[in-house]
Amino acid sequence: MKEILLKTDSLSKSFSSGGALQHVLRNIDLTLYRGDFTVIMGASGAGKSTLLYALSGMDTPTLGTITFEDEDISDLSQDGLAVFRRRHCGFVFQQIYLIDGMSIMDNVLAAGMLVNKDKKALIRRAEELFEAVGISQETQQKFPTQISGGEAQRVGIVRALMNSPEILFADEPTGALNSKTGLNVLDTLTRFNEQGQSVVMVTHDMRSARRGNRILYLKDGVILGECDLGRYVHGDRKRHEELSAFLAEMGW
Amino acid sequence: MKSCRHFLRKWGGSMRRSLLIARANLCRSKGQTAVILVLLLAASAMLNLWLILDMDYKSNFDRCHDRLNAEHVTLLLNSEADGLKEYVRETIEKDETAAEYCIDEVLSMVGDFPYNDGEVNTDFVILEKQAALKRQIGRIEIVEEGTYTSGVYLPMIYGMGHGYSVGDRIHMTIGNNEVSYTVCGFLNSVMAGSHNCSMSALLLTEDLYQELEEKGYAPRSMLVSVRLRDRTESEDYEASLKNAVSLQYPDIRTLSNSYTLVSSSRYISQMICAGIVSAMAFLVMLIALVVISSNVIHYIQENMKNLGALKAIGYKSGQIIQALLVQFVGVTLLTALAGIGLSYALFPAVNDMMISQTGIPYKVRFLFLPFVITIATAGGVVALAVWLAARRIKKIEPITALRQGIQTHNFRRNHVPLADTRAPLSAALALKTTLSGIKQNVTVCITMLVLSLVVVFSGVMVENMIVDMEPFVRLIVGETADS
Repeated sequence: MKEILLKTDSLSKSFSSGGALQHVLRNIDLTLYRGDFTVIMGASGAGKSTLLYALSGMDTPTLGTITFEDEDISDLSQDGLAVFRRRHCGFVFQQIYLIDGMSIMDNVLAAGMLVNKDKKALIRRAEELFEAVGISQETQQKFPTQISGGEAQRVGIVRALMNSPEILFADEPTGALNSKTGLNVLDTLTRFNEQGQSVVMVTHDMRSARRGNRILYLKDGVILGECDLGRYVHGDRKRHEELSAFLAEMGW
Repeated sequence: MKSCRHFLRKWGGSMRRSLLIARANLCRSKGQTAVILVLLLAASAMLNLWLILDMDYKSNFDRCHDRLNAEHVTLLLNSEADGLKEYVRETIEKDETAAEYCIDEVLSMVGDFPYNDGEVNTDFVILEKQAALKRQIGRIEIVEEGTYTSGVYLPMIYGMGHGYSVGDRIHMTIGNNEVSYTVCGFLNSVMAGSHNCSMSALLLTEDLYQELEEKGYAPRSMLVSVRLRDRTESEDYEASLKNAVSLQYPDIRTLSNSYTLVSSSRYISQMICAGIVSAMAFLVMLIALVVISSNVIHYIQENMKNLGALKAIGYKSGQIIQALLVQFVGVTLLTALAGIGLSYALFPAVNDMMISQTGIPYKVRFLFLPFVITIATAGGVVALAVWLAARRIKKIEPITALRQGIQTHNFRRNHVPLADTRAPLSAALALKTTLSGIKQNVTVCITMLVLSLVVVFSGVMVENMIVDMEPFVRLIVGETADS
């Protein structure tokens, strides 16, 4: 029996455009489980990122509720959501968003210091994570503009994992990387997931989606279908075949 | 104790985070930080200078007044008429306003002498040196003297700048008679130490005093010095005493001054300078605040994605604003300290200029209250400006900030649609840019308006205070007190 981590009830999100409402998410009922690698797929404009940001407390829903470990987060204030994010969520963005004026180590510590006051413990944790993603000590002292896109994204993952979040949200983490570097980043995410880290990733790339054990397909703000790949180990051809069949069925 | 330690630990953690972000911001904007540093340095230096002038310079007059046990009302009577002295004594003694008084024999006469390409024309109160130094009330002190044994001691105001030096010959007109003396030194007299007091004290050595008395160039007179129980009544008392004497002895020429009159007239230049310095301090501070506010607004606009990233990883708006406050207030406090140091480095020059106007010695010393006020004002107003400019961070939602540039769900108005407009492309694009950033453009307009005002005002000030100060000096020197 899987442990429920996050649940939505009739989650809707609308934006107003010149007085008219544009419904980006429509009555989504979704449950995320601890330890899952959930992938949200869909065409451009389907509402993938909007769903991800609503689930992670980056954005507030127009209607419906989001419950995280029995706590309703949909009515939290901006500050309340900030505290929720720092304690329970990690974020990996397509554009990475490291702070230019800070060294790589400082970028990571700036996230860690929000939760932990023990600087030595934070540095130890950062160094462990840096080692796990293959970022050298020399690179840790560099600035974001001095490292490659792949390195930056791995730093982004370290930053996201600094506070040991319950869920790691990744929005097109390989979208701005070349295939080799992207593969490296996916390997890193897969490895952390295998160690128990829950991951929710948005992608429109099938190769990335194969890393998930649960695939959700979103269309016009509605979850159109779901595919369970957890039965197959990574690298199994059947995983690819089943995903292809699912996506074909969804009209991908 | 435990909760205190918890608070300090929490505060320390919060400061460490803020410092981390503040340091990153400073590294990014070294040029802008340098401009802000220069402005704050100048503003805090002038602010401290003004506070010293305003808070301590005027009280220096009172300190000097107390030290020399100076009178609150001076009455000079150009006569030794029979019964006059007794009448004055009776008049003073029957009024309880007076605490103590003394009546001295002096010589007095209208006269003049050359000074600073012009001439000083005033009523001289001529005293014998030793007698003057021994006065119980209105004591005169020698502030500089040479080894000359025969000559005149002038108020120290005439020895400042391009004035007289010890050993110089001074040619004076006393009444209609020319005399020439060696300048033996300079004196400090609170109530008669400048032409702004309506009478100027001159000390003559005993031989020259007797000689002048024998020649009769200056008639024998009575110098009445009265200390009051309440110095705020000096003007009223001066008028009543003068009135009483005039009624009884209508033919006697009387000359008088009061504490209120002298304390303000001797410090008129100091007050004007303090006013100008304060205006400059506030204007430069205003420029600094405008620059800081623009800097913060610019920072928010330029770093929207970074702010979004910080918020996304869990920073509250308050924590980001706190980082900006730490950054700017930290820089301000350090700069204000340097500015205060600068003001003390500049003060000797300002002091010389002030003494040449007031004629009262002032010893430069460290003053704690102006120091605290300068630091608190600079830190406070900068904190307020940063907070006001940074408040908009609270309105930034992380998702909106991160999507800046992508704007998938930001339905903004399309000003001047190219499909419909007949305007040339460049004009249409310019209009689009202007209208889409209308709020920022209004801010820029207001900023430029304030800056223009400040620049023009500063230019006029610089012209009058530095480039050509003559009209300003003449304005002050020409201002003499009523007698």
